[in-house]
Amino acid sequence: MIFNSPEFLLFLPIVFLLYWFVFKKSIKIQNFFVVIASYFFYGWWDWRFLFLIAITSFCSWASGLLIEKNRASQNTKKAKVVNICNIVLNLLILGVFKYYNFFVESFFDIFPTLSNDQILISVILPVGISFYTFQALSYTIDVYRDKIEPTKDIIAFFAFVSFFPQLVAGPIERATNLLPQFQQKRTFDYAAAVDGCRQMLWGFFKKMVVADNCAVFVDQVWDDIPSFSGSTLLVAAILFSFQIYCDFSGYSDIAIGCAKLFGIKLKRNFNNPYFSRDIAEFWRRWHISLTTWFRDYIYIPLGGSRTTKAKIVRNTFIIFLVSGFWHGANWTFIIWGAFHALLFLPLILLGKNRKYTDNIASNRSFPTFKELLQILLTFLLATFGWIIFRSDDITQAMQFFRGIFNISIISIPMISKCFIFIAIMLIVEWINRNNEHEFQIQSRYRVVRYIIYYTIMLSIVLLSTQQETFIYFQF
Amino acid sequence: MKRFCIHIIIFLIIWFALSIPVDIYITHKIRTSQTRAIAVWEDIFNGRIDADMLFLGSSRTSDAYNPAIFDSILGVNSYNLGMHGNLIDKDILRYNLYYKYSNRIPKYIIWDLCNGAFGYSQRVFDYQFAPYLFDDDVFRLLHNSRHKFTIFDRYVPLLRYYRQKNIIGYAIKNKHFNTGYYKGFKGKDWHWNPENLNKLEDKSIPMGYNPELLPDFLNTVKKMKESGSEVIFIYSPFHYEGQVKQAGMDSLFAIYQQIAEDNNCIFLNYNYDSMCYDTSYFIDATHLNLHGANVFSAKCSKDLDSIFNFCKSKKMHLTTTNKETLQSENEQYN
Repeated sequence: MIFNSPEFLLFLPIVFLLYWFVFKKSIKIQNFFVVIASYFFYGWWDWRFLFLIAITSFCSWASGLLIEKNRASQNTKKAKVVNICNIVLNLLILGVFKYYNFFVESFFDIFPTLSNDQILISVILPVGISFYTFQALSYTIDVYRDKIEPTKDIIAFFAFVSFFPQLVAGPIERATNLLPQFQQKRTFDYAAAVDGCRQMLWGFFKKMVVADNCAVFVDQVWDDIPSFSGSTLLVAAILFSFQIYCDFSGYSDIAIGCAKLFGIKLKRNFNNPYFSRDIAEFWRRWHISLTTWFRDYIYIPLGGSRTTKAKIVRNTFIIFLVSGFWHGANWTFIIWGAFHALLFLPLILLGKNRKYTDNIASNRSFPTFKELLQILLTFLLATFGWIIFRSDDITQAMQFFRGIFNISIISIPMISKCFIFIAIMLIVEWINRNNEHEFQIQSRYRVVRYIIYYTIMLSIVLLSTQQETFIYFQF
Repeated sequence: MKRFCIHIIIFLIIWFALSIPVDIYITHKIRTSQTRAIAVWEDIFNGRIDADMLFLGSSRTSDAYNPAIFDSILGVNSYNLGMHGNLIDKDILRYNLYYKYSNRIPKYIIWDLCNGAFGYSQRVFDYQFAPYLFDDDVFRLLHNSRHKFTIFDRYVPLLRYYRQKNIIGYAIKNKHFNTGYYKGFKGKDWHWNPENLNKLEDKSIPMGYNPELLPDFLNTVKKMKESGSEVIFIYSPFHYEGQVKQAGMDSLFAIYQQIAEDNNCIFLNYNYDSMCYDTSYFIDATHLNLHGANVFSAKCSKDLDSIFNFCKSKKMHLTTTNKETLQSENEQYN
């Protein structure tokens, strides 16, 4: 089931009412209901893959208990083995379903004389597998690192892994944040619920009005790159930057807003990344839950930035290449990761990667001219990265770059009306850049707020296109 | 909690109330737009069609039959009801609505059975039905597994216009496209585009034959005949380069031929006509351009004229012509 479907419009109020009115009395029953609702939500797409979530959840839960048991008996070696086994098992499942054919094809690309006909298999990529696998993995690693007590409550743990708003496309939650919320009694918070609705509405606007309309133009251009001028290709690349942002951050907004309706607070996943002044700031604001996951579980254990220059370079490349590979079994994602590593390296080697940790123009209405140039440059670099990310293969990406960087770059481009929606989105997000999310309307007057809400709703109904799925479902 | 639920309900009630006038406005703008699909529907729903001869079928029909030429050669008043992207079930719907809304019962119905008439393609150009969901027949057809309209689309304001951005935009801005049609027809003054052949291949032709559509089709033919219309089946020209990519056409023609014989109808098959070897008549493999439509309309009119004259000379009525005579007629014209 996807958020922007009629089924979800029925599913959400039913689950909401049952959750608060029928199953409120006991946390266990309420959690059990969350698991059932979440499995129903996921199974609506393909029920056969429910067993994968169940296996991942059970193994991680059992591993947590085993690690704790071995540690209690001073058997740290065995605890380590359990942790590694759980990681290997989860990555094996992920590897088979997501990367098997990629590895086989890459192997036979290197050895073309061998035949790969018998080895390639038809595998359906289970929706959201990368998200829930990483979420479950973080739990056992945190238990192993003694950052969290393992839970004996299997229902709460299953609810933590499968909580439907963030199950298929994040934010990738940590057990330290989400699991305790399933272990304590939840009370309905009117203000949080209203704010959740508001955030969901904004998420729907970003996805269905901005992202989906951009997709029409972007798909048309990417389908026939040679037919378009360099300037139009650049416009398409810029539109794709906004498409992917609004698609994914829109999903996150809906997920976070939806969770608020159930008294659950999820972590922020995007923090105005396109207002960043350099690439390091961009990565602190883009897909925060994944970036911090890689930072905490890969980058820091490798030594992070407090090591030799050579190792900093190695660590930076590893984290970006793994991040790219996480997105999919395609060389384009790996090249995209390498591209960002190259942009990031100078900053980290010069010790400037944490230069901008505050919000831009936090006490001013507008950025300075220098800041504006920095924003534009960072956006342009990110956009070049998105060209690689969006392309089907490296050849297509190169074709796109060649198409942009020729004399036709100075021609008049095809302009899409999407820029109107993008401008509205950017203005709203700029105004609310210091708030918890980008649609926290502060007006005291209910009428003004309602007019804004109804206008957004009307635009969703009347301006949405035929596009349906979210880009990040494939990851 | 209760406060929240009450506020949500009030919010939705206000939304519902506000969306009614918006829905009415959009419906009005679409229905008064000059978009071909809508304009033909408006003619049907307002009972404005006063035709002796109707052309029924898909986009191939709408692009191929020029009523002006049929009118001049056959001395009739004809009208093109061809509809983009439809299967036979929508042809049937169109005819039923034509009948229901008191348009004149035609003397001749030319039913172009295209290659996909009994196929499985679905949900194309459904936007045109959104303003007419009030009609039970429209809703019944569009409210099934193959189509996206639900009971909510019928009764919840604005819902049926969800994801119909283009048609709403054109209607509200009063920016008409495909205007200047005459009796449902506007030829396309376009040239052959070989790229469309590749698109045809991508569609995984053959489009298939779904026998579930047959009973309704046969009932409709019967109904047409009972109401006094003579039904003639035609397969209009399909370019050779497209034919070679289209598997199973001969078996489909055999089915069409059998249907025609079983129902005492004539089936004129132009699939082997010389036009099919000349790209100057086509936009793509399946659709004729304006020049092709004019040539084909003249050719078809003359063929029909010969058949009508033959029937007159033999004092036969098309609907009562016996099977053997029809077979010889079919052979002659195929």
